[in-house]
Amino acid sequence: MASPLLSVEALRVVAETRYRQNLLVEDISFDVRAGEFVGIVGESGCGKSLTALSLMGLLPKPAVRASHGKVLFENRNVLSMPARDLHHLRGNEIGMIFQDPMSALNPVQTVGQQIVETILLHESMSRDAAWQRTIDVLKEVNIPASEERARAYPHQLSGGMRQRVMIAMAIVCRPKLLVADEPTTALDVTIQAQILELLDQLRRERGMALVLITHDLGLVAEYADRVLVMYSGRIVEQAPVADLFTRPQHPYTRGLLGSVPPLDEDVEELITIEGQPPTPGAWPSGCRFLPRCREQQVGCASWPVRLVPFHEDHAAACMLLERETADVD
Amino acid sequence: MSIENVAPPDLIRVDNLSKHFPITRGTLFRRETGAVKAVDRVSFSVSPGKTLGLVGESGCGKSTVGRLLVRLINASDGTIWMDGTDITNISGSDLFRRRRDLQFVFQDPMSSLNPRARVDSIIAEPLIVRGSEAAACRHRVAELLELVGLSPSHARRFPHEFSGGQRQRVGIARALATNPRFIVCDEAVSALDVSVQAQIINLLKRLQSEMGLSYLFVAHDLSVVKHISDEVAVMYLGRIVEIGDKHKVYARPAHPYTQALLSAVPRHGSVARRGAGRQVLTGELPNPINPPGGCPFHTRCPQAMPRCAIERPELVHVANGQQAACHLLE
Ligand SMILES: Nc1ncnc2c1ncn2[C@@H]1O[C@H](COP(=O)(O)OP(=O)(O)OP(=O)(O)O)[C@@H](O)[C@H]1O
Ligand SMILES: Nc1ncnc2c1ncn2[C@@H]1O[C@H](COP(=O)(O)OP(=O)(O)OP(=O)(O)O)[C@@H](O)[C@H]1O
Ligand code: SF4
Ligand code: SF4
Ligand SMILES: [Mg+2]
Ligand SMILES: [Mg+2]
Repeated sequence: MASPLLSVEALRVVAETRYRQNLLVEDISFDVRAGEFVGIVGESGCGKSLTALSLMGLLPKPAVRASHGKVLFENRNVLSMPARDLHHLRGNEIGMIFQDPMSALNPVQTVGQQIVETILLHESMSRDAAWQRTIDVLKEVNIPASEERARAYPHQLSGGMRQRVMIAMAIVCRPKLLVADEPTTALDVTIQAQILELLDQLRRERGMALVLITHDLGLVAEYADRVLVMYSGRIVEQAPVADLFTRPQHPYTRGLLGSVPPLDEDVEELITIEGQPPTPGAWPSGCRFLPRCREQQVGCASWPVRLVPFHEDHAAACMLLERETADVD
Repeated sequence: MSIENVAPPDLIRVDNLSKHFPITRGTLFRRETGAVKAVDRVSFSVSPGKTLGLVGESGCGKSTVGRLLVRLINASDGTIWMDGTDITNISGSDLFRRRRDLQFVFQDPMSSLNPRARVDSIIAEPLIVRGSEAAACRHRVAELLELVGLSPSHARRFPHEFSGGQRQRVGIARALATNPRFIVCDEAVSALDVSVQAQIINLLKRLQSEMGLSYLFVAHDLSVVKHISDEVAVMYLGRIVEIGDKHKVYARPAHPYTQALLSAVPRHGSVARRGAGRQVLTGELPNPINPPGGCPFHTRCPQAMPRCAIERPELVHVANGQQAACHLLE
């Protein structure tokens, strides 16, 4: 099989202060194949954004840095790339969309100018050609009257329109991978649906791989090929999407699925996970889900946490799974 | 007519309620240049012990309806009845007495709780202003903390010492202090993580069944609203475009906007549904300052007809206990 487009190996991210080192993300390993749609889900603070930033070498150094592991994009390690190569990588090969488009756009420049600048940073062509390309890409992300809109300032556009401008900017240099960090969280559902349809369409038409970060399990179920579930800085389960929803293996994944009221049936009471996620630094040793886990057993606290394979491409970081698979053998 | 056939009296009834916010221009000589019809002639009722869910996209007027009902702002037009009494314009001591029954839980508990006050004084405040004695307050605070799943030992803490879910529990405890009958929950669980959100939803449902509370539950998450509500109202640009029993509205939405809204919700229950029959609306949300004439949805409606741009559709019955405002249904 061809090697994956992106391969993350045992990534660890730490925050460094003068007195101590805080572990924020640990032992993250996953692959993204060309054209694949990978979803990363998890609750606030579990490390989704830090993982995403690591993929592009964008961690806010020196406060936060990758202290271990590799991020291989087409077999080149992003974490040890010289600045010039990194610059080329971002935009040309990996595009990124941030959660809040307002903070990522320059308020005093028209959106068209900003896209032109992005193009000229990465490719050598005339301003006219770049302007034409800008209009084309705005059309491609379904912005009506794109010539007119290109001359607008960010505040003159609606939230959905701004997010589409961000997408246009991220894809204008035809990256092979697009990383989208909560691209629709601030948007209404009908607009959210438009944006996701657009991303999925771009992926199909351009063969671009997509990593979508979200806390919305529904979005992942609708669009992703494969899903990673994160909890307290670790991947606790990864699986093809149908597997994850039909036979979730980690107690946290099961709890998460039970917490969302289903739209298509009635349930009296939601299954909940007691307590709340611990903050980094307050993580228990061993399985970090233990204080909230209903299925915990003697031994969980000292179990060396790791992903246990369950089925093809499906693995979960739970001791019970290891026992089960051991019984079968 | 026999007594048994009489429907239970409404706790809250709203008739043609409107709220217009003036739009002003100029700083020195402010002049009104128009008005946002944030709420435009809405009517509904809430029965004792029941929940009305209010859904719709950002800026459609959901919060304004909630604030009107608990009388945080005054109506421009229309009537609010409580127990058959007109409370639309009551003020002073009449309003103070009503407030006991009408409470509010906000989205962001951190900004709605006084950061410098301890939890016990936050929760007891509505009691203190009503002249309760210190010992009675202490007792009641302990009772309320337990009721919402916190410990009485939390009473001396400050809001910042709690997690988001715990702060929301404090907000609920405070709303319950006066033994209200009606609570407006405005995006009360929207800012919480899913696992914590489920805890608060279960808590709200348990309190309702134990205390016979009525809720107006405002949220943009359609599955949460379906789970907690008995009836659901769908708003678009200040108007209710569909209202009715939740099972009917969700299973057979009559209004094209409700249909689009439900179709846009990603569902985790059905990986199999992927891609099939997903209806994606084109166009942006119109500007509420300058809403489209006729049917407000006509600029995005896949079924719009020429008359939709001119004539405003009124709510009509489409099924027992379900109404929608669309010319296709007339
Ligand atoms: N610059 C920083 N310095 C120290 N800690 C940080 C820094 N940035 C993030 N963290 C911590 O790292 C953890 C993971 O943060 P991250 O932003 O990746 O979470 P997330 O999963 O994206 O959450 P959300 O869903 O809220 O966006 C959090 O606990 C956060 O407080
Ligand atoms: N105090 C105010 N002055 C002027 N306009 C207002 C005021 N409050 C609300 N509005 C306007 O009224 C309309 C309805 O606002 P409202 O807050 O009720 O919407 P909402 O449905 O709660 O939206 P969201 O989902 O974003 O909370 C909006 O166009 C808003 O800009
Ligand atoms: S390892 Fe133990 S505590 Fe952790 S998730 Fe599995 S059963 Fe629960
Ligand atoms: S009245 Fe016309 S525009 Fe409005 S929802 Fe019905 S068909 Fe669509
Ligand atoms: Mg994040
Ligand atoms: Mg609101």
